[in-house]
Amino acid sequence: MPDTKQAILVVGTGVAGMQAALDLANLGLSVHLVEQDSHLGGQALRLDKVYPTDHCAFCPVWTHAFACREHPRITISTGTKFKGLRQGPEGSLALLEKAARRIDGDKCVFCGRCMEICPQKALLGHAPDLPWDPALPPVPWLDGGRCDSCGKCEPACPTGAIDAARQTNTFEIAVSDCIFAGGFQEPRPAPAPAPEFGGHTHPDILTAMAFETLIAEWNAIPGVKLRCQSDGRPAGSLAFIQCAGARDRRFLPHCSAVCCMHAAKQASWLKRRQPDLDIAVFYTDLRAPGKGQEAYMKMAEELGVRFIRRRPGLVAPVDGPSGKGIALRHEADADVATTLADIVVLNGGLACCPCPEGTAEVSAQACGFCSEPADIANSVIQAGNAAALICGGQTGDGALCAAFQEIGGRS
Amino acid sequence: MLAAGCSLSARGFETVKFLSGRTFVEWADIRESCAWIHEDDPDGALRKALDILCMGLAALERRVLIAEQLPSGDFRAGEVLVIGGGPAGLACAGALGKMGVRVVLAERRAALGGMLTQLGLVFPHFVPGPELAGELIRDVEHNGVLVLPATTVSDVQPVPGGYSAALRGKNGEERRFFDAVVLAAGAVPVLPRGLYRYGELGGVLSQMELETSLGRVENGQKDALDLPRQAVFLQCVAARDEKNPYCSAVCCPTSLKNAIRLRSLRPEGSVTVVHRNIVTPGKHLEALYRRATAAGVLLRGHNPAAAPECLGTERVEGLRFRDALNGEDTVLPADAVVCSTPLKPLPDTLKLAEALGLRTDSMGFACAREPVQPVSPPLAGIFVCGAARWPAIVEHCLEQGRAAAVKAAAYVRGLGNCSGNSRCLPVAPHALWELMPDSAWRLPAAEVCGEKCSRCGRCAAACPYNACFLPEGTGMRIDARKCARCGSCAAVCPAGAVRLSGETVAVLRARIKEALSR
Repeated sequence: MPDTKQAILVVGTGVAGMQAALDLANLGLSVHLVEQDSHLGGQALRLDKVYPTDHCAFCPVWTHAFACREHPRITISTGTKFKGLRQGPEGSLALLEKAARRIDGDKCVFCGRCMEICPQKALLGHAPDLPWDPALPPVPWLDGGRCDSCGKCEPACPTGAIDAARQTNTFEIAVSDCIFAGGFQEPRPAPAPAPEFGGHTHPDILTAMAFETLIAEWNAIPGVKLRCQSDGRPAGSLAFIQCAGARDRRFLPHCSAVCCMHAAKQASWLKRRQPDLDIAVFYTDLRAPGKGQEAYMKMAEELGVRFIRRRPGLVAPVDGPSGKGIALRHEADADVATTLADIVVLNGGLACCPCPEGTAEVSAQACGFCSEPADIANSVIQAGNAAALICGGQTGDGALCAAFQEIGGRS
Repeated sequence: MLAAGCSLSARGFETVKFLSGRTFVEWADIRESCAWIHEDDPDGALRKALDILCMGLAALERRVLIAEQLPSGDFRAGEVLVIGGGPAGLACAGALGKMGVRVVLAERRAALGGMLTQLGLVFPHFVPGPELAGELIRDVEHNGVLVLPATTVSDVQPVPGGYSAALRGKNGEERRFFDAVVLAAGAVPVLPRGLYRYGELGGVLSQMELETSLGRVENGQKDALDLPRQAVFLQCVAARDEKNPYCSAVCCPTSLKNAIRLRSLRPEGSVTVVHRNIVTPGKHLEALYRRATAAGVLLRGHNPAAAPECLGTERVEGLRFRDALNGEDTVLPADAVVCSTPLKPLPDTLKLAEALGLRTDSMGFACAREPVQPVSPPLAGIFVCGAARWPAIVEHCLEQGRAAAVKAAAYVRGLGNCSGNSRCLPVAPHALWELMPDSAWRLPAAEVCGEKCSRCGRCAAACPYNACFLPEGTGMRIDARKCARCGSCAAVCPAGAVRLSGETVAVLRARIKEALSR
């Protein structure tokens, strides 16, 4: 068992990171949870629904984040980057860098006084790309473009969480073990999972996560049809391109594992909302091996989503006599065909976050998408696995064993 | 004490914990359910806040002391039963043992290892199966796990405080008490009986038969020339159809692995995989796919609308299928057609699941709660992992086994900390309690008034958590460990003998009366 006096570092607070932290803390170990963003939840916060249940993603993620925040054995540092691990004289040291954020999320109680007093209205309840205000933990979001650094918010804060002159703070903490749960990134900056897919140069060519935000329930007005981002005309047809940038030696050789089901989820839920929408999913191999996933695919097919086994080789916006929209060139039997769609969703180019340097030197585990592409269920399993491997690192006389014996004696 | 502020679930936690003990606490939420939702009407919000406060005061007057509940069962120190000694069960038992939890591992066969021992090589790292099994068994034996080989769990029942399992082994049947049960009973491959002329034509094989002969050749027990020269793997046999409407997840990787082995053992031959979709999600399995194509394994998609057909008179001579890409009927010459069949749960597993009150899906696999609690069903002290949950490759079985171990250890540990009474206040919603199974967060269970109880048994039938018991000679008893405070028992009790602690009818009535009188 690891030394319980030293914390175990968990980097990343997506589903995997939060689950790993909770699993370890529930076994009586101290956990230091580090998140570079201002809030817990990771990419799952950007999901409107989860497959295969079609339930909203908010509740489970919120409950996990809440449990992490309230757990007596979990310490959370938001706005903090993990810079690496090194071997100190008395064990491993983790180098952390707390960003120079004007509002310290760990002190803020979200009373809202700063938001009221700001003459520029630069402090908002939440980041504009998140649907709900009590982000986790709730901290006002500062719009850097609007803020003119008048400094009025500083004295208004009752907890001293605001400091305009705050510098980046680098510090080290002693850790016994480390779990890295960095998750995935969509290809950024904008250009291209692959150049033939038109990059992200046209507003009607979207990535799957951006499309999720566009069609999310909190963005959709009942009865209003899906519209093109370029000129606001109603979209009549939609094409998903699977494995865009993935299973591709030039970019990501892996299969991102979540995208077939993700496309089926988005397609079926749009089809239910707007049955006249023509939806085609261009795929290479349709992969739905998980629990309940085959039935989910079948359901999408029955709703009228067309699954086409072709990989488009060229995607380009067109505006001419043959129509307006995004043209897709793909094989059709022995020939080449062109399909016109109003919106194209590029699906699959999810890159695993690289593990930072130094993690290999001390005992470290990785879980979640960064170790092996995984959806929510598999991330949770991987997190439990990583926690178990850390707990079982040394057998015998560890502190947890002692704790169990004590329990045994008492009851 | 009446406390007014935010909703309990947001910020009130620490305060309530601090106040708990001998004080009656009534909580009035005037933030989320009042101030925030009536942002545009401050005066109305103020009036509503006053109403909420008055309701709280009225409820507080009616509060009576909650009698301390005594532990309802024989609380023995945490012992966990792991059912199944395959990769998932071994990984689970080993991890639990390392964490200092006492474990009993029951395996129905005489030897541990399950299907792992039959696999010559395990992807994605191509480790010999028996070697991996040996490692896992060593782990289990070195960590004080009590292994019971050739033992079946003939019956398992929820009892107050835990589960009672009947273990039938060489020395007869023994009943034991366990705090938690991990179901890792695995699954078996379906045999392609009556399909593609299996059993009728020579050379039509099941995947397991090929696996065995490949293993023999690799061990030098058999000559490579006995292996097929023109092998065709047919995927999704008896899978993804009406009878078995699911993708079994393990068959594509298994076929690719065996195709690679066959290519290296008989490089002069040819290997084709006829598939509907090659399912190799992720990093490692996709690398296996690349390795297979690099080794010269041919992949052909077929259209399931036209069923493939094995050709030949005595021995198989070829496979006819419709190509998925050009739509043409194609005949592939073959001296062996390997049928890739899915995994199916054992009938015994279904029986166990039923006895535990565990839900199974239409295919018979045990259900947990997808996607956020994939190994924890909504039953206290029950966990599922491995192929009993859903077909999984060895690597995923190991991961699931260890994930279930962590949950079971935390559960047993939480029980150890809890003295069994329910002095702690009803602060946490059930979901949260499960995430933090610590004593301070426990809910008080429902309460029974023994005199009113007529032993009709409706509560026990209604309880979704196996928490209601009807012991001989007394009224109904509630197992405080398992009760999730859902209120089902109170709702169905015709005698009004059950109630949720604190929420008496008088309290509710006072609250409603106050609200309506204003």
